[in-house]
Amino acid sequence: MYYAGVDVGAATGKVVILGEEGEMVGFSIVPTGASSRRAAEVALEKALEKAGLDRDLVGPMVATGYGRASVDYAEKQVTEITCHARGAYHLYPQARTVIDIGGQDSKVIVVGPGGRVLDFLMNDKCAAGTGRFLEVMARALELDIEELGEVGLRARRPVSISSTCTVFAESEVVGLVAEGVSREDIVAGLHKAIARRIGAMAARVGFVPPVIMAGGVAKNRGAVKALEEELGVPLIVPEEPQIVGALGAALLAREAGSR
Amino acid sequence: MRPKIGYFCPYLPKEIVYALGFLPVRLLPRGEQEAEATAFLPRNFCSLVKAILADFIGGDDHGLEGVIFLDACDGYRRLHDVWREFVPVEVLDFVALPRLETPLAQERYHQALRLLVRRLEERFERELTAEALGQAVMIYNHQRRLLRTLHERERHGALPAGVDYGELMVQVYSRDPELMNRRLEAILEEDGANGAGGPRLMLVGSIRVKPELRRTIEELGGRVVAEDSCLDLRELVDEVNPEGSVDDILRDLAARYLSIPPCPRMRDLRGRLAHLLRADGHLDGVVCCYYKFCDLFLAEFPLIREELRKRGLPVLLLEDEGQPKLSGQALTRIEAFLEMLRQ
Amino acid sequence: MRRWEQLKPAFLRRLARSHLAFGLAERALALKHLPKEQDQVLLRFALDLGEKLFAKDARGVGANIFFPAELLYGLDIPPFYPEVASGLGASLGMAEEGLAKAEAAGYPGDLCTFHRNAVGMKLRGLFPPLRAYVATSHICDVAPQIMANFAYEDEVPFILVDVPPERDEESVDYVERQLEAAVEELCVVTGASFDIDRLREAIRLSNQARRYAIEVMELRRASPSPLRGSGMFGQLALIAFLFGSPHGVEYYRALRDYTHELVERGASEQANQRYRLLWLHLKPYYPNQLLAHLEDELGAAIVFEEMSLVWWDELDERRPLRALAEKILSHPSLGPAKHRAEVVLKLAREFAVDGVVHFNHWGCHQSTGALRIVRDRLRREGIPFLEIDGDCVDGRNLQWGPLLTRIEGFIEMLEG
Repeated sequence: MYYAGVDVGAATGKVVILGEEGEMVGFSIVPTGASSRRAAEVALEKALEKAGLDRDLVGPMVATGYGRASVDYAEKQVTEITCHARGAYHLYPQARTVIDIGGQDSKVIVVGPGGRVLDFLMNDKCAAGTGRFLEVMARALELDIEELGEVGLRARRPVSISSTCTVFAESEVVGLVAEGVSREDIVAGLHKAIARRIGAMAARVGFVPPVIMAGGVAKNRGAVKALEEELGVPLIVPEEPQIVGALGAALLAREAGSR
Repeated sequence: MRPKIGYFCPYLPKEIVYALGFLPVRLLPRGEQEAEATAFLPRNFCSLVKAILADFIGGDDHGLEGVIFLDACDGYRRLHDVWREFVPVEVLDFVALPRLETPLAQERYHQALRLLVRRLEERFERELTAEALGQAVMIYNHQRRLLRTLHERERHGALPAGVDYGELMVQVYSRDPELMNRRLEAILEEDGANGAGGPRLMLVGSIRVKPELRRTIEELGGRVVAEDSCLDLRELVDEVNPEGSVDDILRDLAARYLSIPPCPRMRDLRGRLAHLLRADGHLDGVVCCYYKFCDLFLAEFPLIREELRKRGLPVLLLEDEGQPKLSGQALTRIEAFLEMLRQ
Repeated sequence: MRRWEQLKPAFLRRLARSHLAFGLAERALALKHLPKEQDQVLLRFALDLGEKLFAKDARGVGANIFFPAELLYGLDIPPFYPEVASGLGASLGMAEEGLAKAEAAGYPGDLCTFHRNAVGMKLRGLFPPLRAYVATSHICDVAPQIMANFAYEDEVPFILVDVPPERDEESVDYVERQLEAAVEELCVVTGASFDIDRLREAIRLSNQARRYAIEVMELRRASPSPLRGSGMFGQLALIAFLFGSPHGVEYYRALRDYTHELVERGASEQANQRYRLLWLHLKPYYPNQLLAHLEDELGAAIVFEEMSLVWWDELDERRPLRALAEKILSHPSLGPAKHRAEVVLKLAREFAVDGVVHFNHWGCHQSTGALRIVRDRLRREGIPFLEIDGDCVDGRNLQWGPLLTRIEGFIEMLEG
């Protein structure tokens, strides 16, 4: 019997498939596009393909993420808070805090023994402090989002971005470009701005190291470094930071299945 | 059918209104359409106040003879200012409500209530008698006894099924009290299933917790065992003495009403905590749902959260932006909170 | 640099406690950098107060800005106003740090930044040790809450003076009796002794300062406006702090003399004056170009500010506490907004202004709540009114472009 978890976020849909022993046999990451439902389907197909499995070998599935309600094939829905805690703990049993910066929201989760959630804070009101913030800025700077990390690390004098609001920050960035500030310095400044935002949430919830970082933005080394400096602790970034939620969902599916 | 007088705040002794022949009706937002209010109040202003203004600004008097304001907070004060200029429903009085419970403050409130009575008597050309006031006191005393029993049952998760509790409380404060007393009696006669498992929550609201929130929590398997709001626990007045002259009864009303479980405007932090923790032992978590821009609650929140956390109670903070339905984000937070408590 | 940031508060505290430092600072700064006598008085006042607040056996008490300082001076208790400290912190560029600290402590972002920054400054250890906090309940809801929180954290008493929403005989009695009780409790808590003569002296000093302040007000009606409005925004703090102290008398006398001299010569601190404006509420305290631009580029003179108004009658020293109760209850923002509207209209006429500007501080609901009423009143008299949305303490999202457009549009309106 295999177990699957699906995490449908605003930007990407992810599926993780686990075997009986909880070992990962396949996963997928697909763009969500306009339809959460379709994205969930495509992600599942792809993951099954990678694992070389037939659909009927997979037991009842757990869905999480922003679009979890629209996943037809899921047996159960669980929030991404619980799933991220569980997934991160599975990968790193020493984990005490998980920071997930996704496409449209960010969260700080304090984790206890067994991957239990002890406390959490979410920011989903506002794009600042999320992947969307960096997307908007990358566009304004005519850079690919994937480049941002490297570009930021090359900065000589990171500029200070004062706007806390994405819309205002964008015009601030445009202004800085006009003034002749280098893109490297601007990007580094943006990374610091995100880090400050997340840092404030982390302080409010009372984060405890070791801290695991999940979500797409974790692949941005510049952002990770800025966050490390803000929090004053090193961050552990899994090899595939985006699938932590789906992994947690799959683990929960497995737990339910083996009862 | 008694003519209706609207009011906003649990500190107003309803008995006075009732004894003069009116039905006191708690004004709560109906439409949640704030747009009409923004021409009169700023955008970043208490959404409850804006929603209430929006209901009335169009000229619909909702069948009210008038409204009574209390000096409750900045939000209500400004609503009062704007109301007087622009809303065609008459303001019967703006009562000076103290922020303390000291004997001096009680005396002060007694004075203010005497003034309220005089104004109502003059306006409606009738006299308040001791019998009528005593009668009203007895009816409301009885109601409060019933409500305490109801709250007790709720604390033990033993409310009878088939009652939308949030809606019930709204009715209690807007319908005829004798009618509602009978309804409450009928409900209490039924046995409540002794609540199934599920995390036990207290809800803390500025003014009120919207019924939608309560329902959602229960649908998701949480059990609401207490609600600290102006429609619920903060309405619990102690037994008022119905004997004596009008002035005697007014004095007792002033004292009893001033000492209801405090809301943050009373600036009694210890009293707040003592009150909130009364449900402790039965609680697994607390959900604070405040109206956006409600300064009084926002300012007390950090200390309340700190003290609750010290006692091992996780706290979830939600913002109520005045929309009738819960946003997807609020839902996710509630679900996550319940999942967390269930572990 | 970070290390210095961490050490700074401790260093400043040490410095504040050193008499030598005070003496030196006074001499050095006053002579070289403060040509105006009134500013020298302020510096002496600040150093003197700082010394008292940070002394080894200090007995300072925290208060909200609407609490009459005369009472504290009358008990020889040095007053500390967290809200004023917050504004000062903002003008020194310290607000970002303060706000971040408050956020980390759980204070929601919609709360007034003056108070959040005060919370942050306290968390950074910048407050003097205080024996109690005292607050009036009127006008601003947030202040008493925050003071009560501070008192709770410090485990010291919090004294609330409950102020009714309107002034009448009974309200004055009520407030007077509470001030009496407050005096008793303050004496117990600080070890101060009640001396009616000292309280009367504070009242006398307040009255003297008041007379000078009113002269200043009258002098400022001149055209051209003698004083630069942008320099007068400390007045709210000064009105809170100075009245009742001898420094208050010195300050306002010096300011009166200075202003008088300018008016005699028909001169002004601001050269280009094309429009006369009345400014309501406060301004952004963090470093910014708003007022400089208005004054120097656009030629708008802020001839008077709502916050500089001496709004109370002379205090009767025979019944000091009753006089203070009356003072508290005569604030223009107490009671219906109509009252404030009438006061604003009167000022607009007395100062012959071309327009009125209100700075809408985000999070201040008492001042912005019923602006519609002020606006309508002014409009009925044909007086142009501009609202500027912003934040007095948090400058992170200041959008200069759109702000400039609004101000310039308004000035153009005054042209026509």
